[in-house]
Amino acid sequence: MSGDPGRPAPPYVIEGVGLSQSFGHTRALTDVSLAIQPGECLGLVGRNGAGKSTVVSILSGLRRPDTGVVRLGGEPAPPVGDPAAWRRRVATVHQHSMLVPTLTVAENMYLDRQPRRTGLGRVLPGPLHWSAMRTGAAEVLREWGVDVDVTAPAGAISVEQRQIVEIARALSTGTRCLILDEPTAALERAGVRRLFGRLRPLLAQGVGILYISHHLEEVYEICDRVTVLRDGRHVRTGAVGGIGQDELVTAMVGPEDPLAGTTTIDAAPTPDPDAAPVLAVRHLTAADARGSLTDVSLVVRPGECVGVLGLAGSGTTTLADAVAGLVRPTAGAVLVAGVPLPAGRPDVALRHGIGYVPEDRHARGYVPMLGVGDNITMTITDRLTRYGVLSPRRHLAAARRLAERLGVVSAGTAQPVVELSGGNQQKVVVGRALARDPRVVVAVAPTQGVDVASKRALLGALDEVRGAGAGVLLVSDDLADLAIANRIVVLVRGRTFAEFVEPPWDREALIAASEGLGARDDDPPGTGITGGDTAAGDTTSGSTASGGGMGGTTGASAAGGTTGASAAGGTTGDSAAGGTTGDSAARGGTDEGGAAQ
Amino acid sequence: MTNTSLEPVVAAGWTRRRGAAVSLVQQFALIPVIVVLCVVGAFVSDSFLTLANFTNVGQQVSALGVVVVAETLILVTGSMDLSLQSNYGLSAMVAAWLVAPVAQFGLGVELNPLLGLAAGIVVGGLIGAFNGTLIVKAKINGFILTLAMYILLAGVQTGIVSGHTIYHLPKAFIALGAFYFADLPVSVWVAAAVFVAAGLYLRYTRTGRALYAIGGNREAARAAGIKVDRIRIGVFVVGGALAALGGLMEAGRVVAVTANQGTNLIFTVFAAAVIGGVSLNGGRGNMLGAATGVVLLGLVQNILALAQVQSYWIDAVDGAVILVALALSRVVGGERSTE
Amino acid sequence: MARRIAGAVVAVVLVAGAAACSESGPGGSAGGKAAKLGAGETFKLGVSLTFNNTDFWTSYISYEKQFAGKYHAKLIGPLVANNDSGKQISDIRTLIAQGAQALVVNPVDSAAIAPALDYAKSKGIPVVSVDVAPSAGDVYMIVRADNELYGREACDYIGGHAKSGTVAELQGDLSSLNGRDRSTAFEGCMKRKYPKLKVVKYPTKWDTPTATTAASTAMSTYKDLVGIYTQWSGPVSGIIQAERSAGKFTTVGSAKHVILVSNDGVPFEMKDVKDGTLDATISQPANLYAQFAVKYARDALSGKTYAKGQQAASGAGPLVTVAKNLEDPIKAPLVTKDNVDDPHLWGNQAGS
Repeated sequence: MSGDPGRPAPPYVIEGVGLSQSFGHTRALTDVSLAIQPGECLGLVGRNGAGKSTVVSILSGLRRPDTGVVRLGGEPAPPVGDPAAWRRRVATVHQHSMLVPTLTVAENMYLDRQPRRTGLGRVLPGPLHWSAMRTGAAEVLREWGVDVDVTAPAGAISVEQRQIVEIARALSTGTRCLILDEPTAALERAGVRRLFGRLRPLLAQGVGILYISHHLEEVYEICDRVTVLRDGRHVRTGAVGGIGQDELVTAMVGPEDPLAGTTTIDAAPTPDPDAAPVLAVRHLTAADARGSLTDVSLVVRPGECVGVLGLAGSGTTTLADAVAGLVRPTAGAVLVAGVPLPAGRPDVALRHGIGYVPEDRHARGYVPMLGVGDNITMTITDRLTRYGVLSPRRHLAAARRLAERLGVVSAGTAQPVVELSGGNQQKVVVGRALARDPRVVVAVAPTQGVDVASKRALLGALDEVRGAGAGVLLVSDDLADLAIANRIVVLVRGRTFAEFVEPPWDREALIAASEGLGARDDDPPGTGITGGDTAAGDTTSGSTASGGGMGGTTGASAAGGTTGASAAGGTTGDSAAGGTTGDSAARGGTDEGGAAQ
Repeated sequence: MTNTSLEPVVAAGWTRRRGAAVSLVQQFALIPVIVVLCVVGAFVSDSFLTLANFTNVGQQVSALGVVVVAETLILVTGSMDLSLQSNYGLSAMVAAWLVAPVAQFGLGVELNPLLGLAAGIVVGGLIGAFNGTLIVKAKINGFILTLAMYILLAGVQTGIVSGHTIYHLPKAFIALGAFYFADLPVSVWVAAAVFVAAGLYLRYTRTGRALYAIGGNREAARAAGIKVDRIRIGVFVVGGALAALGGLMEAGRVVAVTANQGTNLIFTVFAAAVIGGVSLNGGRGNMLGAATGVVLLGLVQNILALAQVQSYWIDAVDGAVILVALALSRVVGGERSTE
Repeated sequence: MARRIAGAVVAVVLVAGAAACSESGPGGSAGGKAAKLGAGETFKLGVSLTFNNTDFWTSYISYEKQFAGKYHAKLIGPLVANNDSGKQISDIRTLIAQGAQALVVNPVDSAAIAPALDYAKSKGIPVVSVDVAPSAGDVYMIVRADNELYGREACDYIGGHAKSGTVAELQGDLSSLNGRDRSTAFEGCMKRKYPKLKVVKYPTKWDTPTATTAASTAMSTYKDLVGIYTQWSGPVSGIIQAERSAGKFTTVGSAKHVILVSNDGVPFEMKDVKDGTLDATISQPANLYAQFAVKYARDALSGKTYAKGQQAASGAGPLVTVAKNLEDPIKAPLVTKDNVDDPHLWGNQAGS
């Protein structure tokens, strides 16, 4: 990458020098500079509101900085109003979906550069070549290993598929500079691996990549250098190998911040096993495009947090939605404190004490133009009214109380939630769920797209609610979230597959289980799981090894069942499907160690 | 490598099969309705299924059709223009005003009729430019702005001629609306040409596809490099010019421009567009659908006239038929495709 | 406690407000009689119309200005209600508030005008109704030609010139009295006197393009079409053009001619009758309407009284009554080639 000292370094693929930007009173960026060399992947990290999105807009040619200069390949960048010129040089994959939902996948791939048949020279360009568009798009997606019908409207494919289409589209323009803004937010591990597999050859070819992510482990994996922003200023830049995770977090969060350096929460004390469950799910079966459920049962006791882990499509979100009343199950029942809930009635679920934190806060979590106060008290407006008239005083007091409890940073309770940073938006959403002092909190991916400090605050709030006697059903595949769980249930393809009862959790074991890998092959398929069935067919249920781990996991069997390779002593339970977790015995593996293919 | 994501594969296959079938049905969802109407019409009167009757219907809806093309283009980008009906009236009135002598309430410049027609279209385009600039650049709410313009322009239309009607327009002026070419009215040829050109534009040019992108997800279109603002304003200009063309065609057919030409047109325009599958939210709709919507409404009017439905009930029957057509087109067509 | 007081205050305010509402405005009570108008004295005349954008009414408006000068009237308005009876009521109140001493009103609807007439009466302001007779309420005089006569004359003309076949009637707006009168009279007369002629009706709501469409539909539907009756002059040019396009155009009097009878008597119709493209029209004299509307308004303020059977000021014959009000039945002659050159026809006079 660096040439000999005697030769001048090749021009940077993209370079921003002294960038500053203000929005009204807010200074989003102050004198930020960064540069990416050919073949280099630069990570850009920072808390929500640190200025990363602003940097992305400026470097994508969508916004003109108040001061500062952008150079592409050593030359001044094209003016902001010339998107065609920018597109040839810089390709950006944004955080929010930039696909047109009403157009087909094929057309979205070629938006504004659709192939044409031959025309009459420059005078009359030829008509669009639709079949070439379709075959071209299908080919690109095939190379990515994605089976998507290119004639389907982009709004009808799943979230992960949309992400992949956007990334494929960005890469297919053949640019030398690629900006990825939170590209893995909706991808599961296999998808992330595939993405990195694609990025590495590009880096080898000399493409420069700017990689923005909240998943620090990804930055460590794919990036060469990392830049930290804080409050709109550049804090440090350095080689990834030279900065430890804790140092990185410190840089992001700031030295005075008491949260610096701590990223885990102490494991929760075990609740009373004999208490009557506050939430019981019995033989729940439901069909949903995001993943079906088949005969899933579990219980949550008061003061207990049950984590639910599974791949996309394994039914974890469907389970949460069914409990909250948003999905109608075809069989089975949901009981809150022993009372069965009518299916498909979220209002009834709310009244019975279920608080719901949805997966996609943009789509379902908050009303963008309404203020913080309105959003956060939305679930308790009945308690703030008398004779149908909303009391402004009580409303304001309740809103302030909730906002403080969660630590929402805003310009006041009237500020529209859409203007807040991702972390604060999520706090509003969680606040809303907690406003009614629920008996059960169902939270789906509560810290997705949220900065480190907000993550801690949110998990803290959930833990606090649990400590006060509520039950928490926490659906997440972010292992940091699951740190506050007492038990973790793993779903594979809509059925309960494994259960882990002794914290702290072994990451590799969890991941392996979620991929459906598991016990030793001589274990009879048995119940290794509290109250649930085993996974169908191919793999045996139950335990996975901990490579060196801590206390064994799994199969606390209610049914005296077997398995349990109890690991003490850490062996490697092989999984029948070849490849193992355990083998990686090694600690030190990253998450990806698990489920090797 | 085990395929760990089973559901998306299944979903993709299902979408593929469903997509093809639905697309075919969507395109032609209104055809059965039109066939039913033709059967009813033939039943109601012997003269329904005659060339003379159909050419009449064609001539009667051709001006409306051109305005529907204009509104459809604007709707696809996710905007709407309520002032097209007043544009249709005022542009024709200005053109006539420039051509007619003072004795017939004209301005007195007595412009050549062809120049008058051109002036009318230019006026239409300018009104569209005005609307578009305020909506896109000044970000004034489109519904309210075009509603205000609808009233303003209608007032100007009455004002410049003090309420009079301009009659006895010269032959060159009325040719667009009144004359025939190869046994079909010129207006039908013009309307057909406009529909075909617009349809090809929407499907086979990049800027045409850009209209759908802008209507479907404006930010995504911008991020893809589409010049969103310029195209949005351009669509208003073209829409205004087409509405003016429609107004001139109507003036030719009636051989007069009344001070209230255009009144109540906009409801019929929206009805035809929506029945034809154009979405009021933007991003969906095509010219084939819009054309079938126009034809359908024209046939309904024709059949009501032939059936001698009692005059007090004509409006009620008209509205009921539109309602049924809307429901049918939604049920049968489902969500409309963009291709 | 604070809540209770607030509630009481609100209640008191509401009751007081309701009590304060009354029908008439400030200064209202059965108005005192104004002093009689002397000769040569100017008076303020308020004008409330329904339309100002048809040829008849635009001519009326300009004639009214002329005659206002002649009768020493200062015109306020015309305020135009655009077919909205609610707006007309507020227009009339506005005119009175601006000091109108008498009113000329063309009612949007004969029944809905009643409250406005009562209000004017309570202020002692005489009203002359033009072109439409109110079905309730008092006016000093109605200035109106007999619309039913229009229908009958058109019927007789067509009946007299065609033996059998189909006749298309382009009906005016049936929610207006004039439209209804002309239509029912025409249809009744045709049915009684000329049963061999079949009448097909097309509602048009006074909309010119709709009427043109109806005429061309009739032409293509009925091979035996012998006549078209249009209740106003707007569609005439369009109908003639449609005939040309369909190849069915012939001049008046030729074989296979489709008789065209119109209404209003505007100048271009005179020309068409002379040229032989229009068979006949009813000349509704905008000039006489305007003249006598202003004159009767002045008479009312001068204290003059009229009675049924008395000779009408317009010379058309004795005054008649319509729903307890007096009407001056303005003469509206049928115009054909025979009398089209009569200089007294308003369409032939310059200054329209």
